[in-house]
Amino acid sequence: MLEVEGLEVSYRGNCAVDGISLSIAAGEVVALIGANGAGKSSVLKALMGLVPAASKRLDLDGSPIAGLPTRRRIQGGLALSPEGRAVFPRMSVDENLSLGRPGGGHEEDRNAIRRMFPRLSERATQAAGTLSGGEQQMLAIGRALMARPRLLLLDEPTLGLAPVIVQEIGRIIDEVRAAGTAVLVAEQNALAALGWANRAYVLTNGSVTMQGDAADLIDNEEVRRAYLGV
Amino acid sequence: MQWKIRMLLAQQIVNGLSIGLNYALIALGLTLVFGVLHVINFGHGQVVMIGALAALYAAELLNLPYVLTLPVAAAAAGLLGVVLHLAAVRPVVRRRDGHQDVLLTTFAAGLLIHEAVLASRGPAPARFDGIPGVLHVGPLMLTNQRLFIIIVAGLTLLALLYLIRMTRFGNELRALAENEFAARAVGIDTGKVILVTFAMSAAIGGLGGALLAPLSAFSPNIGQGALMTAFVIVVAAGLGSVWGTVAFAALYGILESVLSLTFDQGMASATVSGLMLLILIARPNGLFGKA
Repeated sequence: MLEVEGLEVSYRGNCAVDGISLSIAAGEVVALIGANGAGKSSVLKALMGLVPAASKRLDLDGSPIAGLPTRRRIQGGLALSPEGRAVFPRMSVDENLSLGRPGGGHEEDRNAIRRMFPRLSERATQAAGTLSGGEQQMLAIGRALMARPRLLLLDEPTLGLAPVIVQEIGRIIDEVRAAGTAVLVAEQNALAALGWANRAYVLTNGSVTMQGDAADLIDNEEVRRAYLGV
Repeated sequence: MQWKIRMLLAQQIVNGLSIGLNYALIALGLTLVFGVLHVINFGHGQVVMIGALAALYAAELLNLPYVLTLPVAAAAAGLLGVVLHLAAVRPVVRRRDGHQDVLLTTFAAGLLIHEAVLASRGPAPARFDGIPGVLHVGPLMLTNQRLFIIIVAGLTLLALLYLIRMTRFGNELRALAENEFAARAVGIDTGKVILVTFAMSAAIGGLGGALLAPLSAFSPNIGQGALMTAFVIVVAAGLGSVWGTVAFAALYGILESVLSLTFDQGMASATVSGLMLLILIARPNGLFGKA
């Protein structure tokens, strides 16, 4: 459903993403792993139209989305849960959720999110800034799901979170996939990400240096040394 | 004697509330723009002046009754706000150090507006008639204009607070104020929200100018005073805090009025500003700002 060729992102002349290509099929979970600063986050931001980017090809369901504003990409089926959670801290959980869908959230979508994240449901009227880190991460994912994406982009969802929350995020990714939504997850925690994913791309200094089935990469000597610490 | 002092005090509190709510309209324009863009619009005072001037012309040239000149004031000021944003803010704010440049460009645009008005009609003040008459409530006396200010400013503030708290646009505005990147990430058209916020801020500022002018007279110089008062209020209240701005503006108006019983007007304003300075020393983020 997503086809990317020759994607480039640079900030003030410094190249962050150097002509990478990737593709994601419907209902697939794909991991983007690599060290801090490898360009993972820039790829996701470029897909959402949040940073200036150039590409040879950037197609969602066969139609080009390069140059479209973020709102149109969301309407086209993309949604991002940003790095560092990035919730609206002084707004309530419900207000955060309703902002996830351009033009306003629907009650039935919000109910679906509440069923998926019971903790958020309990805290519906609480200010988002008072939630724990894990709850804020759930809120950021829930907010992205409010847009009913067909491809959910997750930027560093486990950053700074306890192992038990990391497992919880794995469960959510499974649920999202089961509901037919594809997931592209950028993660420094390669072990967790390869556990969730069908396929993965390894990003080094803005270029894809390895790609393949997640199960194969987990056994790959180089990946194990560089990213799994074993 | 004591009774008389109490009555005088009550009288000044009501007068002060009226002028305070009027200050709130003007100060909120600074607060809202600061909220979404994190810049102070130093052209805001002249927008307030243009609001009053538009109302004056609407009354003089079109023979409109005062009440109907208020929408003209808001529309003219709102339009000017849009122009100010497109000409003096949008082109510079995204540049490196753009936020500091905006202080200068908006100040320069304000000067330009001020000089243009001075050049076209001279510095002489003009009589500005509001709602005539006086209302007596027991021993208290309230001019109808001050009563009218309380009603119009109060209703406008309520409508604005409703807009900010309860509507989709208000949610988008608050989201942008809290986290610009996240606002863009959820697809909010931040450029549009900023433009509308500018227009809205200018419109209520212009309305504030047209409400305030009948208390003295119209002068091309009312903008500077309005800007300084609004600036002191928003900084002391905590930049970006809407409720804080309203509460503080009311407090400012009341203090200024009550102090003018013993000091002259200039000294009363200076004393209130001094108090604001003390607040800032004690609470650098303002009385209602995050500690």
